[in-house]
Amino acid sequence: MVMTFTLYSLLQAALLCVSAITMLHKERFLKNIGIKSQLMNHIQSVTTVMRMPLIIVNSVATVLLLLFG
Amino acid sequence: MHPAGLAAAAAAGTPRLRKWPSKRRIPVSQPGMADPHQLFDDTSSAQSRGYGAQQAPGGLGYPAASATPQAAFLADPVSNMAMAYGSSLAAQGKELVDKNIDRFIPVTKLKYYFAVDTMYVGRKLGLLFFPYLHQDWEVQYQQDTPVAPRFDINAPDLYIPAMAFITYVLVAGLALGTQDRFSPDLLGLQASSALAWLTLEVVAILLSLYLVTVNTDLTTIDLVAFLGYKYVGMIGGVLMGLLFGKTGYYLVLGWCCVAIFVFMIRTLRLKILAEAAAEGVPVRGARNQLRMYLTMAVAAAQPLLMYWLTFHLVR
Repeated sequence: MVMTFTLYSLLQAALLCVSAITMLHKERFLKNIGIKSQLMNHIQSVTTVMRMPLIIVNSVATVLLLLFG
Repeated sequence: MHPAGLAAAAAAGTPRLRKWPSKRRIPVSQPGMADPHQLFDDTSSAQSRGYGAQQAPGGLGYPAASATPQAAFLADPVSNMAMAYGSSLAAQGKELVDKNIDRFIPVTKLKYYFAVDTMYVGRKLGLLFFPYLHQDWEVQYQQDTPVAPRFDINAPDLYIPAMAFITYVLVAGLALGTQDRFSPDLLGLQASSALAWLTLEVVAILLSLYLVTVNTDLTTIDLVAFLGYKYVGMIGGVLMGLLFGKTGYYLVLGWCCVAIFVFMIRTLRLKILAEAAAEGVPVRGARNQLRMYLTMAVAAAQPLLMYWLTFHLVR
């Protein structure tokens, strides 16, 4: 009955969210929801920095998931 | 620092350690003279080695022949060099850790949160279970820094949350054991789950404080301390549930939920709604209203989490 909500699942969820934000296509997203440009610029700068580490962290997480389910 | 020192001392003085273990392991306690950067007493210094050597002939009734292998060991130049090298390595390691530990864990700030004594803990636990009669919730300041928890009952501390968390994991194991559902990895799962919820709470509250642009002096560690107080109520509920079944569990949990709700509202009101709450007037205006809603949301999340983390333990 316990919702097995562990620290690792929290980390996985955070990783998925950050990866999703990184892969966001700015123009298509802005057409649907008009968010302020300051937040968009902030997100864009963060993603340009974080792409490389995110690739590594995602691959590590994939390998771990393959090994330990 | 401490493990490196003890390992070097153990490696260097193993024969002595085997023969007189109790004399070696007692740390030299110098509370007045302790280096403020040290968390633990340094047992790798020559002083404790001299202490151990002095006690050796004195008193445990061991035969005199035991002194000769020790002298032979010391006279061997290779082991002499090894001992010197080991102790220099230990000193280097200690220096490195001392220099860098402040970067990762704010040690001096953490020490403030553990400066508690028995009376404070007793009074704070009483306050957590019965906050209705307490009048003054302000933290006293002493020249811009808050007073240590030992002197002010309103100050947040990390001792009670840490102990309550550990006790909660143990009590959860106990509860699962009485229902024949126990297995050792479940303990780790419980601990991880509770920690994950705590992290999520802290992140959510920090994010909402940032979005509402509130200028508070509520640090992250303060927030962790406040959010950790609910474990005390959870322990009470589960223990009562073990003793008296579901009715006892619901009664005590209900009482603790209301108490934690009032406690959090009164504490957070002073931190988040600083200016308005100081006079005690009901708050008006859009900004203050938003802050009030935030405080109520944080306080309301506590009973919910208390129930969610314990209901599966009581059958």
